[in-house]
Amino acid sequence: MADILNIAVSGLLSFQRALGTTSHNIANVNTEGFSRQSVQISANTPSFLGGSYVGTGAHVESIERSYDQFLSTEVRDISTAHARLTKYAELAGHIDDVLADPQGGISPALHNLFNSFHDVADDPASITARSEMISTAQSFTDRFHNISARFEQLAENTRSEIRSVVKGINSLVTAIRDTNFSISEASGSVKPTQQSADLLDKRNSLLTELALKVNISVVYSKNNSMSIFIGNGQSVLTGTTVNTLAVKPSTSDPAQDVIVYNGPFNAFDLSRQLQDGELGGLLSFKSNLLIPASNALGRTAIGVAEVINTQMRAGMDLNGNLGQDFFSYNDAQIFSATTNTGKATITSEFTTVSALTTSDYDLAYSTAGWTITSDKGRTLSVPNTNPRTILAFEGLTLTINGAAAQVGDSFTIKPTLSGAESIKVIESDPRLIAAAAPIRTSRSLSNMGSVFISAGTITDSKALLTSGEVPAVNFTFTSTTSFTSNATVLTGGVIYVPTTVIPYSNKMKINVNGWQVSLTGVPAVNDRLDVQSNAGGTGDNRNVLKIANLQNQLVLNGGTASFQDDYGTFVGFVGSQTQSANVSRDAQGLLLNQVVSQNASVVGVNLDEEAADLIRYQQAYQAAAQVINTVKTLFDTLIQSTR
Amino acid sequence: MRISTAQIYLQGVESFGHQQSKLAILQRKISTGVRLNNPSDDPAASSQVLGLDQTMSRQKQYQENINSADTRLKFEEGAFNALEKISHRLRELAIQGNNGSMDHFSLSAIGVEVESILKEMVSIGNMRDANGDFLFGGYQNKNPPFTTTLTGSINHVVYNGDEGQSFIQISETRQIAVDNSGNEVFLKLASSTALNETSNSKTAVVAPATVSDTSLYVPGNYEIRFTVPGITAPIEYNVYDVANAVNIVTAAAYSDSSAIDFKGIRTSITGVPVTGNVFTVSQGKNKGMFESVQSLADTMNGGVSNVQRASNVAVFLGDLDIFLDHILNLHTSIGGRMNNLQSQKESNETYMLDTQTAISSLRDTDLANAISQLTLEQVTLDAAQAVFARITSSSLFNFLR
Repeated sequence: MADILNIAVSGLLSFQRALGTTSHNIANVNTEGFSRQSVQISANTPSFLGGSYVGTGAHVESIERSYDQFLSTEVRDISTAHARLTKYAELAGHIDDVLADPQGGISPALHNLFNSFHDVADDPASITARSEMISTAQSFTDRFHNISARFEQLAENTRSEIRSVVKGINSLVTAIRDTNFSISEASGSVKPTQQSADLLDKRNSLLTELALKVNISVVYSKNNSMSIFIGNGQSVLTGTTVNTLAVKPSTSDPAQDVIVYNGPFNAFDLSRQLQDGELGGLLSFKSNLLIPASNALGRTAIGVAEVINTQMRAGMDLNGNLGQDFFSYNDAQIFSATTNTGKATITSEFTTVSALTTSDYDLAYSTAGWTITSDKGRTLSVPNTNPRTILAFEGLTLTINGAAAQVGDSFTIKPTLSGAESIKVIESDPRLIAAAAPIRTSRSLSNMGSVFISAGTITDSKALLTSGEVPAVNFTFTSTTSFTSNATVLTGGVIYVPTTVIPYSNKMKINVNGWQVSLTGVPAVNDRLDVQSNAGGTGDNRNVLKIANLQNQLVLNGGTASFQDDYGTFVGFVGSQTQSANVSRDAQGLLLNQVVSQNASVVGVNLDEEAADLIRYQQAYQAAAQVINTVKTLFDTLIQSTR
Repeated sequence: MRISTAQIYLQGVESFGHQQSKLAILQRKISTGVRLNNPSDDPAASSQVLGLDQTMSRQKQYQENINSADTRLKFEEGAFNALEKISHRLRELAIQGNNGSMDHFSLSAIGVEVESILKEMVSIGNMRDANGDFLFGGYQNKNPPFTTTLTGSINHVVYNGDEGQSFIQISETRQIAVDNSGNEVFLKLASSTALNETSNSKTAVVAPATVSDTSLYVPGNYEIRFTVPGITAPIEYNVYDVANAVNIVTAAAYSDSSAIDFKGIRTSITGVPVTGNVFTVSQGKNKGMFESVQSLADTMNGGVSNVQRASNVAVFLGDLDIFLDHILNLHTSIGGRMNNLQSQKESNETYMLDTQTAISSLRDTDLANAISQLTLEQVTLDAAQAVFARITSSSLFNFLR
């Protein structure tokens, strides 16, 4: 009898525990990272009585959590990738937004700039049109400044976010170490199946949180402790030892941060290995979108500025002086690595703006001489004579000054990064805009022949001046087939000094002092043609018309793109990067949903199921209670019968 | 498959979110009418639209340029109209003055009118355009291109401008000339009686030589020579006929700025010529219209003989015909250019319309499509909500009473 009572009580206790676990499950139905727990009830060891084994009731064997190691790892890995893509897409969206405003981009300002050139061409003597051109150019450069300021702000935000993510990684790793400690302490006394399900869940949640920040691999060890590795297998947690990460300025470029791993033996730059998670997203946004975008914008700015400057220098202003630069901009930024031992310094100059790329470069000195590598991994060939002091590549010329460089020295070169922020209009006097061409040509009124001289083009603006003036040049015909000049003349590949007889041929081209004219028609003896300075030529719009027409000429990117094309390519680049980031994020999101539901179908709590369990255990409990009642009745019957 | 309760809610909420974000995008596309709100909406189309926007902006500028060119040409046309009228009046006056019965007073009245017409012509030559710049100065449009100067005893009009011609861009590939230099309009006129003069003197200048008496005029090369050594005062000169190698004037007394006449040619020398100075007067090709008009005025005022007047008037009428022809040609070419401007304007407009259509097809929302999509997405959202409500309302706990 007492047996039955004991059995009933063992059932009651087991079902009570089962009901307790069910209610724990129900209570945690919305708890993040919670795994459904279930009670394993086993039959007690039977006792051998009267030749047969007699059951002795039930006991709670263990409380287990539903958990699938494979799915849980998969959720973590996919979350890592998703976190990277989400972060990347979010940041790319910011740049996308900067360029989205149709009135705020560079485009409308570029159109206005060129329209203002046309306005000056329509009325070159008008000071109003000229002033308007300067102020339009200023608002054009303001657009560059605005966008570059937004980029700068994004760079700053990215930088501080990287710092806070790295801080977060360190504190998460510490928290996991603590949980590890509790788990191994707790599991020391019990069987592995009896570890605290809730502690394991907690650790798993922390791991998932860590995985959102950076890609990790996890190795479990025997006493249910575990180690975490990042990058190429650098351990951040082994047992209870934590190796932290830190953010430090780069040695090659103090303006850039790198992520340093404080390993057990030495500290080193780990940035390139951290390719996933939020941190990976931030780093790849910086190197794959923000820097190329800033460089591309800078290149457009430098291209516009230099191409217009070049044409401006080939013109003449209202005061009769040769044109000056209209825009100014910074040269390439060059950083000498803090680890350099040599004393070499480097200066740079843009030689061909159309050859500029959006790359940054790394210049390193070794026993074999200088090597230049672009940030896209290309090694550039430069003439390899040693020592070299002038290196020309991709539109840029570097001059190495000072003492010799030492082997191992390196420099970072960022040609176009500061182009957008530094472009400025330096012309403030509307009279100094070089709208006119510097020369004009004329035929003497007394000419008897019909020889004609073209208006002339400028071939070399540097050669135009002799002692500060554009010298007057004349061609006087000594016969119908020859003429002399008062200047040194280059025609048909032959140089003629002044007063020597030059043979005339129809449509011949003549080069003098940096300009070229062509002569056509039939001359007569004593016919005279003149070329002189265009001082006073206030109505001449030839040069500004040329500037205005630069708008649709292919002057950038190796002569394949107009200014608009270059900017359009830049916008297209940002747009497609953002678009593909969004698409991959959404695809990864779907994948994540799938594995999360797969995982949830294993670990998640289903209320209907718990309700059924509730009924099941309640009924079992009631039955066990009924057994006690029955035993009581049996006792009563027995006691009654003995009365 | 087991489904966790949290999953049901999560899935529901996620599908609402997804659906609502689709609706939000559609709402934005429909309410703004623009399909491309961010470059990432369609990167290729975005950069294409930027290019097309530039085309639009350039075309608008070309239209402005055409207007500005049109204004400039209209001013020039006005000048040519006036010159044509003047030419007709000059012809009348010349013919009127060629009448042998005209007395001295009537002739000088004609002379006065011709002179005032000359002034009017100069003022036409110094006409300003809408911007206040001189129309016929070539590139040098800030100072009057024509000024009247007295060199020696000869009054003549000097051109201070140049041969520059301005062009304005009126389409991607087309520039149109918007002016003609004063040189071209008034001075480069082929004439049988045009003269050149040059000097090797640094201390004296020779005035433009004119044909003062066409009846005496013999075209040829003449030199005014100050060759006699030891000449002190009075300074004397010879006039030498190069072709025939004879002196036609010998040892004439030089007087500063006085007329020097020979073979129907009149010139004068100002300054102090020295021994060895040679001033050449030879046949030229071009004769300015001002010079011709001045010579008509001189003929009318000068008390010349009837025969000589008739001869001078005949030469003048020849010059006038050449001038009028020249002006009519220029006028026609201006008219042609103005027509070109109009047709270019129209073709630019067509181009703009096409470009706008292209931009619109790339950038604007296809409303019919977007609205039907909106309806579809709305139905899906409604369905998702209904399903969610149904599923979440059924729970085993409802039956545990």
